[in-house]
Amino acid sequence: MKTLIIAAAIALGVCTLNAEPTLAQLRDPELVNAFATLPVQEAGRIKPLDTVARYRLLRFHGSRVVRFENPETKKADKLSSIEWLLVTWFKPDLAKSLPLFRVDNPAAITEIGGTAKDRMEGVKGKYTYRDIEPHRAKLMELAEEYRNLEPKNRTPIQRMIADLGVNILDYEMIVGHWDSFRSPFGKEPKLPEELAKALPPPHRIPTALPAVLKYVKDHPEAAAPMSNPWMMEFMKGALGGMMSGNQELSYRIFPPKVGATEKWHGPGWIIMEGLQTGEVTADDLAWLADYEKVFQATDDPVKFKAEAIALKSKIESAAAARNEGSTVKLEASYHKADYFYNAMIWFVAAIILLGTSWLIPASKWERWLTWISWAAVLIATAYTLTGITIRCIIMQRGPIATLYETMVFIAGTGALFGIAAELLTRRKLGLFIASLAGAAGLFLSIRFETADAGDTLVQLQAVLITNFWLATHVPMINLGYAACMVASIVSGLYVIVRLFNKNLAASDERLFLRISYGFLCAGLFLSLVGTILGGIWANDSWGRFWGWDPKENGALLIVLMVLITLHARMGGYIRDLGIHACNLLLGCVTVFSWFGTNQLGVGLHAYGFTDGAWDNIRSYWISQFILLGGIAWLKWRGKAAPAAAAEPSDLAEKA
Amino acid sequence: MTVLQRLFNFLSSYALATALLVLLFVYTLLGTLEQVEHGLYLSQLKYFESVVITQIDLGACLRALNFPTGDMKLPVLLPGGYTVMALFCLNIIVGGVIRIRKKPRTIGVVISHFSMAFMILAGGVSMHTKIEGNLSLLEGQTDDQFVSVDSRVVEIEQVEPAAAGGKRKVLVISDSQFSDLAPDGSSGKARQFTSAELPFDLTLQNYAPNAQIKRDDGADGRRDVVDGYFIQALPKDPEHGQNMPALHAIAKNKKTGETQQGILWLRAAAPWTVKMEEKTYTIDLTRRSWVLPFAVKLEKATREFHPGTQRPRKFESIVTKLQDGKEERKEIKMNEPLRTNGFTLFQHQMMSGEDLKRTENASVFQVVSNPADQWPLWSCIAVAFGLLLHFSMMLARNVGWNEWLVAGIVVGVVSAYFILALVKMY
Repeated sequence: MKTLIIAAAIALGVCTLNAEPTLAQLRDPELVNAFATLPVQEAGRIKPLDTVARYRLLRFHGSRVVRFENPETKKADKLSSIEWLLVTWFKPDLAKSLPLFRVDNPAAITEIGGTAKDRMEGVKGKYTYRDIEPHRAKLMELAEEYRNLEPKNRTPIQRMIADLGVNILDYEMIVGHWDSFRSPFGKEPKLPEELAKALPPPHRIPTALPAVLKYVKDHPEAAAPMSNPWMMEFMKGALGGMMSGNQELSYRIFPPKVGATEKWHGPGWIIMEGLQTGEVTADDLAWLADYEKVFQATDDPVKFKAEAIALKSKIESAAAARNEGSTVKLEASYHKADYFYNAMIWFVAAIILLGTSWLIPASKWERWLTWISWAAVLIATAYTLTGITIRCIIMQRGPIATLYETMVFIAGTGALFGIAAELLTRRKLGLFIASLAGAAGLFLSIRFETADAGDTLVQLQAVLITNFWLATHVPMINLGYAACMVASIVSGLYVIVRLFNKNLAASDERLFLRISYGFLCAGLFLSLVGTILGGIWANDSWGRFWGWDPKENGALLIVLMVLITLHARMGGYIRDLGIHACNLLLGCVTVFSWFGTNQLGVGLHAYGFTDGAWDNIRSYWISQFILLGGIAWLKWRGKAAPAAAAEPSDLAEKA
Repeated sequence: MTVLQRLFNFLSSYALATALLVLLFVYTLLGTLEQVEHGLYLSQLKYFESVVITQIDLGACLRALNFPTGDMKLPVLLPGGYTVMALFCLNIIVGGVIRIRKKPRTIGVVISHFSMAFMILAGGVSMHTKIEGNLSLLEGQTDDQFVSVDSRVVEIEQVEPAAAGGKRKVLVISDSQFSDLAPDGSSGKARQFTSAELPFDLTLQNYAPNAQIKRDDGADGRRDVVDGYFIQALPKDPEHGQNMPALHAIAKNKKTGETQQGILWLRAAAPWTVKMEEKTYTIDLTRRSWVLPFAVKLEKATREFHPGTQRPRKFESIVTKLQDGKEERKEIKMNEPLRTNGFTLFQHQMMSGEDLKRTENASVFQVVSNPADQWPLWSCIAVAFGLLLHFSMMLARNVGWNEWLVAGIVVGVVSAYFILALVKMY
């Protein structure tokens, strides 16, 4: 029987198809770890394959975990990013049935001719490839049309369709990643006679590639895929090997020899480059053969694992010889530890514990809860700072170079500021500020990462490659943001407390004022010095100290807002409530400077544009204006008058 | 109270400080938002370098904030950014340096105020004296002239007979003297320029900030056609440097009154030629240029990308500075400009030979001459020290520490830092 199958396969001209591994085999921890820590060059740096899988999945799915019904156990199950990638590579049929593609608005599905899922049906807003496949032509047509529109002019549905089109194309390349090894000329190859003679089945890419290149050299017309179906299939396989239509995200896992080009090679790249230049090196063919061994071993779990580990070892050795890939394992462990998510959970726990402790004042439980809150805040801050430090080690640079990094940095430093305030005041307000600033900053960073769905560890532009300025100006400015946001948060808390507590003690009023005023002053120092340092950097990079660029102006707006508050207070034009009101406005200005200036789309600092960010910025502004309304109400009711009149010199003396 | 005393009190008041700070805040915000539609150059002129502000484009500001809105232009009469900055500088000096109670506790505030006034002064000096432009070189090429991106001039040069000794002499009309001669709303507005060295008076009119030159087919019966061509105005590009202005020029013989007309256009392949009284002149609308006291030869331009990407990792030019027969090899990189002879050369752009379809790479340097180049650095150091001292003492008072001990620690730490920095530098 087996002989018959082989004979039939040979007759059909296809290579022998391996039996698919089972899901359980693909989830073998050793195998998963081998693939997760496989070094890959992508977007200009060496990273683990796990990072690639995480951000691909995040882009398609909006989450790093795929929940599905396991066909082998018939139970609800979930796949991690790397497991999902392995399933997509080695079990394409199952992969196509996973609820993978996130489409938030059903109207986008209806527009491409599909049937939007009912709220109760399957996983909400998640569609399988099989759901979308019948409408692929319409999707591609619309996606092409919407991609040509100015990003600012696209409606949310058009944006969704354009993104879905790109995602489907990339996904098809991932599903077809091993096609060059599975059947390089398609399932039913019809090769030209001369080539067929030179290439008796089974067709294997390491041997087929030189023959194809020779044939194309002798018959240049064969290189045209539209008129040569076999070439079309051959190129499709190569594109699958690249795993992305974006050249920068092309899959490169073979380190060249020491001293050769910096660019790593990948299975798809070797084939495409060969077709372009007509040549392929012996080293590249050896890499293809090694890669093929992994695919050929998929039907034998033990061999499969051994080949995967062997491939990884070979790549690691080749990378190490080039002094590359030393942080791959660290990066994989960084992702696995999920420092920022864990930190956020601890910060939230601290908020709940502190809130509970305020409900049972002056009790033994209150003391215990306070101590546990302290522990939670310290653990969360340690998590945050560890995550930031590991990122610095991986990238060999300062902590901030992208918008995402500003968020985690501000969350961490905001928490440190809160802890410092608590150490000085011992009234639990500092602890609460630390928890709130940390949780809010990290929540924001997680949302941003999900929306952006791109690797957050990015290589820098030439102008940013300067450790001195990245270690001085950038953290200074962000510490300024953190201090101003903390001042604003304290004032916001004060308004809320005053609105709900008519009999707030004078000492508590003073506490809120002193902490917010202290952070206001710290914000001035950090923002002013950070802004001037930025000017000095700009003078060295762009030839001018100040260029009225939106980001520069944003920093100046913060400084001016703080100076207005301080001078108005010194001149007696505002009192305590006025300071809190100005602090709320300062929060709005800081958010504009931090995020809003990036959205304007002009200037030299226009990085990190995010669709839909204006909605979030406006929501924050509205929340602050509601609090300002609260201050107006407090003023009108005369609730603030006694406190302000009784202690008019509290800050005048300090300033 | 005398008028002088009142003036002194007003200039040093918190009220003035607060009002000026609020105005600066508003201008900075509006100037930032208007950039989205009007570009940096025009917003900068309108809000930050102006004596008065007469109009605010509220519609553009709201649209920048993603609020869909129509045309909303608000006529106002407010002191411009330049006026406000000058007043603010005066306010800081009078109020924050002269009038402030001088006691040990306020020393940090006095230092900060003085440093801020110094920084604003640096901005003023920079605005009035700074010149900047681009110097583009191919590998192997040498040049000593750099060209402005934003500033345009009309240059008049006698080309025949050539000047004695081969020294060029060019008469220059700055764009501030003709950029208001727009045809819209001020029809017929023209300005005449005269020079004893020229046999003609030159009249400039119909300035279009961005234009193309079209051949007239006679169908519209236009009156502004010169030699079969006319100026067709185009919408202004927010990037000022991208605009291609044009204007109409008339040369009138001082003796005979005979006139010759021409169109000047920034993109014109050749200048307009005027022949009068046996002499030939070229009149050209061009970018302003300056000559360096030394020449620069580009030896090698290196551009590197992060592997597999189009993200630049390194721009580096190796140049030779040629002056008085001496040659000096220098490197210019991102963040590491070349400062020499009062000029600073920054690595601005780089083009590969492949992009240019040549064998050599090209490098563009931004050349800047600014007497106040390093003033902000000194100011930054002083303001940081002043604020640190003041706020540390304030914090110490609030938490019950010894403020003078804290002040001593701050002074000690800052001094130690600078001593270490100086030791490392030299």
